[in-house]
Amino acid sequence: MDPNTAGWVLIAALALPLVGAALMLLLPKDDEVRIKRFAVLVTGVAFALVAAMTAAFDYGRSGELQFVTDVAWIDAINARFHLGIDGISLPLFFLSYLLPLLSAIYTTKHLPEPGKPKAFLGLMLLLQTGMAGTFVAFDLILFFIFFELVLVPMFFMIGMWGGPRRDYASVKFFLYTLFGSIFMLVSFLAVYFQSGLRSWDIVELSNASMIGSTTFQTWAFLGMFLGFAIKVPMWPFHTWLPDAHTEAPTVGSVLLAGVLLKIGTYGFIRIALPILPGGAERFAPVIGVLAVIGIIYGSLCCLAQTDIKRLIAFSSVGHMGFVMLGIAAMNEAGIQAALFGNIAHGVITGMLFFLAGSLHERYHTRDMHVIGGGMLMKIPRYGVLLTYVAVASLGLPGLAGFWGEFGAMWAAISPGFGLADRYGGLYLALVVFAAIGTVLTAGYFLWMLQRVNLGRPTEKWAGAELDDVLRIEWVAWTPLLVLVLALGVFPRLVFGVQDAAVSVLLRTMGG
Amino acid sequence: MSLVGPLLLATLLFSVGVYGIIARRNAVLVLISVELMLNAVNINLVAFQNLLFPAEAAASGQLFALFIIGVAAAEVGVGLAIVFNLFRNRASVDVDRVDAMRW
Amino acid sequence: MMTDPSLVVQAAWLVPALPLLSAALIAAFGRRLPWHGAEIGLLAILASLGLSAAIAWETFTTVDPAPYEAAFAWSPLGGGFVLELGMLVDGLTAMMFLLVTLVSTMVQVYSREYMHGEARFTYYYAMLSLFTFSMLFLVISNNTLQAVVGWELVGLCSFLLIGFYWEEKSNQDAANKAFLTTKFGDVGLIVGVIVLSAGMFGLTDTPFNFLETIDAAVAGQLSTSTIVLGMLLIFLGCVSKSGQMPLHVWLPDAMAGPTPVSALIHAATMVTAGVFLLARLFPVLAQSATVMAVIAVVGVITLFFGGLLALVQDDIKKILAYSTISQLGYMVAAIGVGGYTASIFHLFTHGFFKALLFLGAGSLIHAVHSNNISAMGGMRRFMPHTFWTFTVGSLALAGFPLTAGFFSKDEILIAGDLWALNGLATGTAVYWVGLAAAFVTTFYMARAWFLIFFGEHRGAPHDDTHDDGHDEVAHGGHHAEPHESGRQITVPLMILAVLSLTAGLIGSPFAQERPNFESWTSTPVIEETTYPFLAEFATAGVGVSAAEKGPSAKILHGPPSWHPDLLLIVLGVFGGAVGLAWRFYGRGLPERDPMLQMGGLTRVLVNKYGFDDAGYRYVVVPVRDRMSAWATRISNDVIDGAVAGVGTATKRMAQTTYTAVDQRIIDGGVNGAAFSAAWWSARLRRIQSGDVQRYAGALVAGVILLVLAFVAVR
Repeated sequence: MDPNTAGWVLIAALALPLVGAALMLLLPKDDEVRIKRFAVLVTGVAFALVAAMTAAFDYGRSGELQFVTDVAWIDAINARFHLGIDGISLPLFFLSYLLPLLSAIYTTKHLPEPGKPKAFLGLMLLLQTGMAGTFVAFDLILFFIFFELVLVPMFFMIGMWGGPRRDYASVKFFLYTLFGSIFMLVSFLAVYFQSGLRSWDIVELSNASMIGSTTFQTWAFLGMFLGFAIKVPMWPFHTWLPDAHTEAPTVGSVLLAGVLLKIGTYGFIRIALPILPGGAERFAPVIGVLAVIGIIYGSLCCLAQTDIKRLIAFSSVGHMGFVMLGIAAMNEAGIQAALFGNIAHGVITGMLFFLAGSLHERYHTRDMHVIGGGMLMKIPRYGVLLTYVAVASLGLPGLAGFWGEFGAMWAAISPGFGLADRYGGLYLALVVFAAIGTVLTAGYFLWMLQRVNLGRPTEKWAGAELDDVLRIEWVAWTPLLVLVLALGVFPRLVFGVQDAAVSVLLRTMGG
Repeated sequence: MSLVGPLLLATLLFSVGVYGIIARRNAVLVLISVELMLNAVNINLVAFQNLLFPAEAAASGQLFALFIIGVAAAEVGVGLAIVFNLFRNRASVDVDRVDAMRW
Repeated sequence: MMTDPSLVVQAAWLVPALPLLSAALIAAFGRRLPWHGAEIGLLAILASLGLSAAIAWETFTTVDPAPYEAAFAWSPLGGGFVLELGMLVDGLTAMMFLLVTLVSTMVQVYSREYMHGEARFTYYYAMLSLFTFSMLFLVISNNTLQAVVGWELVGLCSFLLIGFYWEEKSNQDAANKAFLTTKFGDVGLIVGVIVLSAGMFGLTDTPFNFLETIDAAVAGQLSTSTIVLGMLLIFLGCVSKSGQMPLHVWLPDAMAGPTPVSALIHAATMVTAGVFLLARLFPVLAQSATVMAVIAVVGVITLFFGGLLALVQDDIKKILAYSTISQLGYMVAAIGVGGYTASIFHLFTHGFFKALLFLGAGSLIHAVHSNNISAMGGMRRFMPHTFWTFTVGSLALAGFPLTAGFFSKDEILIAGDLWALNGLATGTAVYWVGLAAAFVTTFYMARAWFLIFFGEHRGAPHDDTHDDGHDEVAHGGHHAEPHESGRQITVPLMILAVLSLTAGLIGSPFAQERPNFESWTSTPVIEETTYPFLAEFATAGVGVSAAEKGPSAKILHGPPSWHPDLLLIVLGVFGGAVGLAWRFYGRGLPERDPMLQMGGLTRVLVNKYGFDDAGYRYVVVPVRDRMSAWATRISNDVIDGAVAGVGTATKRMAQTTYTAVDQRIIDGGVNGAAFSAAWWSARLRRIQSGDVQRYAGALVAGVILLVLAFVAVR
């Protein structure tokens, strides 16, 4: 397939999960095995298609849109059906096809209570289309539709298959995100009318010279900031996240951490920054400060947790803080690092949630005090995996977590857009505090490992029969485990793909 | 021609209608009160037509009045049907007791 | 670039690559092999050692050594900047290669016997290989960021090996402490690297490159603030990694790991990393008087007070650990007084004799099943090989003339002496405190030596359940006769003993002509280094090239010439310290606590020599008992307490943040918004009564109000 002409491939990849979800409705409700296999088949075929796209992608021109479709859609409001992929979208797009496949495989063994695989997997497929769509939509209306489409299936996934406080968590998740997206939509409208282009097209709007006055840009940016910052989530808009993660079923947590959170940072990079560079410039120090507060604060909260899943959820606040710090740097290195951090966090934290889910399957608790240590002795392979992924998450060089964190700090030392002159001291302080955050991060992960992994099993578990890693779990996890190492050893895998696209992006910002 | 007489009549009729709607408990009487109010409006329409545009051939005031009479007939038909159904289900046409649409 | 670099130098990347490969292979297949993976590790490390030796020889004999650099773009970093994955091979790299691979080889041979029968034997060997790889990766790197990668991997491996016996809580705590303390220093390192690289923006696409950074610094293209801030922060990383005060606290606790690991950590793969990095960036830090002064002061404090701590220890491994801190202090202090060659020379020789001492200690511990010297005694009869090798190691550590430690430590003192001629007090401090600490070093090593090898065997409270695989005959409940370890333990000891005696010769006054240690590792660096804050160098631009004291030569360059005066002083210090130790411990001590026994012995001495009495009461007692106790107390209570306090405070703060701020205020605000909406709606909905007539009434009332309003407005 020729990436310059084959726009249909992208549409097919987006439509496949949707069609799969529709077809799944035809399957008999009681034939659980066939439903699960069908879900694996659909996500597998979709992933194969995306893998083929990744192979066919023209990396020499990763700064330009490929697999483009651009046709008139809703003429009344000038909305167009504009899809495409560039170097920034590709890794995230890839991830949003890999994780559902792994989730489907994982679900064949671990279906959350109360069962109903048809509904569960159908919602997951719907979710997949929504997630993938946000990363390839280049029309603000289309983007907004995909952005909102994601909410509904996730709401039901948490609300029906979640833990004891699922009602609270799902409603909170839904309302919080919706609240933000309203402001975002208002900003979209403001941009549409202010630009004078009568266009929702992200590329056109990015290329347009400064839209409106600086004051306008600041207000419009504030709206988008609310929408995206809640999705990221940035401190202090993060409180929906621990609840949602803690209550969500394993697969829900994986997709939430692995892909959904990325939509927020992607929105900043793809929409808010290039369309409103003036507003972004004014907001950058604020974003930076909030990001670093998030890093320190998330780590501190992690130290106070006993629920392992809640700990991982809070760790997301810290990690996404590094991503936002990269964005606040407003230069190429910062955007690069932010996008890398995105991918790395998706892979690592997704994997951590898989592990936390399997931990719960075995111990029927997520309380670290109840588990009480000795896991490395009881189920050694599982313990090794937990150590490996935790070490990756605390940012050890050579594994995926390091490059995003280091890159963000490195970029923040010399922020772009003249911020270095005006806020040089502030940014230096941000770097220092972010670095201190890495120590805290190491602290809580080591502490977690000590309480769960090391030592001898307590009396409660000494005699219990616990499975070590199951074969199906190996199948579902190996790709992520390999990616954690591969991204750490070959950061070029992501940096290289994004490089040209980020340069183009910065040029459209006039930086 | 003085407008005082017709307007006084219309006001009286309208007030009687409003009183009926608010005060009577019987649904049929409420419907009749609605008719009174509509007819008060009809009188006004005709009166103003004659005062303002006495020579106009189109006579839109009268036309409106005719329309209202037609619509009122239809409305009374629907209203009475509802009242009948109400009576069948509740054995009463007391509007106080019909509060199923409450919060 | 070296003209036509030979094949071995170009293949230098294999040196770290082989241990990495072996770590992967051991992890994958180790369990199924007859030696449980040790054979892979040994094979790989031997190959690395061979290659390192070839590289060392090649660089050693090259007349005009220039660094060989080769790199490829590892990854773009955005903004046109490129991160390289590369190798920088010069004398310093080659020297570190040789040291690391040699000590690793010895440790791996030794561990076959020492760790025999351990449940996690295969894991242990995989980790050893990974540890070696990490250090070699750090050493070979041609840029600071790659060095950071190796640096952090070293930290991880040390964590995994210190916590090797992770069943026990104390070992877990020790591992965590080591990782977190060094990680704290890494904050400095990482921010320092970032600051330094930021200074390179606009000068190059590869802002992390060592050589380019050095060139830029020497050419004055880096601002003073960049250099001072960057290097001080990087130095913070070195302080934690190389066990400098006050971040040395992890090092003694790190003894929780298996003894061969301690040898590896102390001699080659961990604590030397900080000194290595300082050496690598020496021309940069030499741009600032502030940086050099800070380094020198920290080094001097550490070398003296770290050494004092060893005086009161009973655990042999702790004695050695504190001695490592002290010796690292010498190296760091030397860097701070321009003694680049002296510092890395001491690093080189120290690696051999400290590995020897730790492995010797391991051999002793293996035999008596106790770490405490009070449980040993008379060991020279049971373990002759261990005895003489340990003796050689102790002599080298104490700087006995003509051993390796003598040449390197003397060079540091000379460097300090020369630096003092520049009018900088740090040089004087290094010289005199260094001499004093040499006395302390000699004293505590002599104390340990006497207590371990002489007198009656005191024996440990014997642990009968311990089965180390030797066919030992139980001795009726009383202490068992210790016996010499097997050949896999003693042969590495002998090799290291020979090296501890001879390795110093290449940097000694015997090797005034090139090639010698200085021409091998240092010439290009020293030629290039400028010291802008020294008036002469600011004008001359390059270092001087004479070893003699004098107004024209204030920075050590070239191998030291003989200094009979210093030789005499050192001999005097040595003799005095050993003599003193002999007074206290040489007679063999039946009681466990030598300090208590010292009372009677002291009175005898007091009666015999009045001079000794004063010296003892006003010098020895305060130094040995009080000051070291204070130092221990400061180390344990104040600094360690501060670390623990920070931990506790952080935990408490975390708890407060979570419960009070997060759950109550922030989340409360969110919930409050939702709840108030519900509250209002509950009240407002009452208006909707369902009573049609009430609606109509309201309607009419509304109309009337509107009309009235209308009229009023008119």
